[in-house]
Amino acid sequence: METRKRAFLKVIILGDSGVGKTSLMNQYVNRRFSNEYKATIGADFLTRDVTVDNKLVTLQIWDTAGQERFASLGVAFYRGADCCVLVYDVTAPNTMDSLDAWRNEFLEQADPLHHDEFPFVVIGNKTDIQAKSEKNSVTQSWCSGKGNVSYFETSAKNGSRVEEAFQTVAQKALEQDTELTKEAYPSPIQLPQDNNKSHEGCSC
Amino acid sequence: MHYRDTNIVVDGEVSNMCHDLQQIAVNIHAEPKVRVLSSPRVSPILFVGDSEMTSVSDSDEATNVSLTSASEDSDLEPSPPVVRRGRRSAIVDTKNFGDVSPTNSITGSITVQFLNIAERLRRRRSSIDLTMNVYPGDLLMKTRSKESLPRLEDVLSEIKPSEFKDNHLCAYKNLHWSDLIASSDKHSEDLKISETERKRREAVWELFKSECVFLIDHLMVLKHCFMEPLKKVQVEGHLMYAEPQDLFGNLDELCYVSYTFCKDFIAALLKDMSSTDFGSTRVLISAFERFTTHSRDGGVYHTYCLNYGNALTYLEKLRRHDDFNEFEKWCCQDQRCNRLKLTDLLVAPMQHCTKFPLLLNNVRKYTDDPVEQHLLSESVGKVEMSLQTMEDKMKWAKNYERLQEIQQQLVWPAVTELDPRAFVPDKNKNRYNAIQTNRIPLIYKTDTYTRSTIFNISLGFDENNNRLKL
Repeated sequence: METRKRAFLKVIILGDSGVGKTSLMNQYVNRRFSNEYKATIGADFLTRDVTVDNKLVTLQIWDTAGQERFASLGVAFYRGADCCVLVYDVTAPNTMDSLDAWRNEFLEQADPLHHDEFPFVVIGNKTDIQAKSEKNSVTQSWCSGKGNVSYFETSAKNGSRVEEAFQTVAQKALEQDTELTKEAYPSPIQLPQDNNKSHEGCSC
Repeated sequence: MHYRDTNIVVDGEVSNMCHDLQQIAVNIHAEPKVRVLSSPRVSPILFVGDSEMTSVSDSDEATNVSLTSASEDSDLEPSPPVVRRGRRSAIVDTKNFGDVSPTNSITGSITVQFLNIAERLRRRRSSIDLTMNVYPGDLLMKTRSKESLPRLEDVLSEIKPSEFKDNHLCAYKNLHWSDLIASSDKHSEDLKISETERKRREAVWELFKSECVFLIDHLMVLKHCFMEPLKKVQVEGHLMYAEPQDLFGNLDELCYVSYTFCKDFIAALLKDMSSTDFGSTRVLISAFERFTTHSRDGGVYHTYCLNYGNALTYLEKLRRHDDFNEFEKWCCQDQRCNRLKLTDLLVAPMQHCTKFPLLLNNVRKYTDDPVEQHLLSESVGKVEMSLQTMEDKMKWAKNYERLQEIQQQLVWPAVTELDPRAFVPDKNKNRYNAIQTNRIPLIYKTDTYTRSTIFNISLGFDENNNRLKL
């Protein structure tokens, strides 16, 4: 196995439209916030170098721009992801309800080795508007019910806890990355050789 | 030996071709460069008449022809023909693109020259592939290639990466729409426009800009930092196992379509622009419709995306070769990659094509006129439809692949272990009777190889029951 000098980690951000995915990414990578809302069109992904456990890793954060509506395209985007960030808007409780759908969507498309252990980070965004999420406890329990999920409440606008959240993302992504990815060689399908079995009716 | 003769001829040809290529390169570079933003008006002669593509070509004669045919636009100052000459050579790889547009006929001596060379190169490569396939373990062949091949790193160090040069577009990419107005009309700053209108213009500009960024930062980087160098090292005899087409798909076609859209769109925007007006829906829609026609209703993207899945698998295979890894590493060092990896760039067209509806919707959101809104909605509908078609195609392809995969996984029992008396239902009996020959081919697979074996089997039925007798 080759030893890579620097880990290159791929992170996918998912969530309903308008919850602040791009803003979060921008705040984290460029430390900028723009009040003007645009449906994501700009960058497809941003990268930032970050140190985790004294190791320099490159986080490549993929924003979604309409691809999520197309299942077969999703495969291409989610492939090889090391961590998935699910974002909802604390001021719009219904966006929290879609987390389940997004998680399932991701697992189905990316099809990681162990569905239950794949790292997710949930972010409740826009705490600058509403300090505490009404759904805080609901989300907490949702996260603990799903295994490897951390939860943060952030504000992409004032940058509150964004750094912290993504540090966790990097940490988890790195753990996922170093986990040996078994080359899935599917076992061959043995055709039954039981010749004595009588063929009843059409065998096709 | 026959194949050796072929090689000698081919080598001679290669040097000729290199010479030709150099000649062309010299011709191109001898052209004066375009001043950046010499004029805010870019001649929209790429599209003449309604939505017809003129035969844009590189020879002077042909350029004149296309200029004269552009009589209705003759009030516009035409951009110097040299601009197109330089650009065309940078963007159009005639090698794998025969059907860019039904109305686009490529003429001009340089283009034709390129075509010839590309064709000769293609033939040369395939002939070598062929000989290698025919004589896989030929020692003579090996010794010969080792002696004559310079080392890959030397070849790479010699390569001068090709470039995408279009100073106009590169300049516009970094501009803002308000800059354009300021440059053409100094008094426009006093003009007040509504907030919605400002946002609408912003959205229109973003549509242009995103295409521009996609073209210059993704497509052209993929082309010039990866695909062209690959072809170049292949001319030197390296990495011959890598088929550019399998990895990059119809990248050239995408480059061409995107480039044409960029040029046409900015030309249309500039032509229509006044101190009070910018990026009207009419201009936007007509430019987008030309693009739709040109891209065969998004078909060029379908082709690319369908190839993409296989391209990744293919890339994995290529990466098992050390020299390919060395090559890829070399490519990534190019400044223009901007730290993007080959896989990041390969996925870009898929990301890009899903953005069209979002971009158009964004414009519609800030459009007040109901008629214009309707027009935009129609356009959005069309793009969505095209994307849905693509989705369906990809789903189909994926299912098909899965089926093939499963088939390959099947381990058939050895023929000798098969029950020779296969059951045949009554209704199929007459079929077997019809093909009762003495020889039927039996093809079976083992887990590692696919072997075709022909067994001579005489077929017959048991008289009493429905079982085949071997």
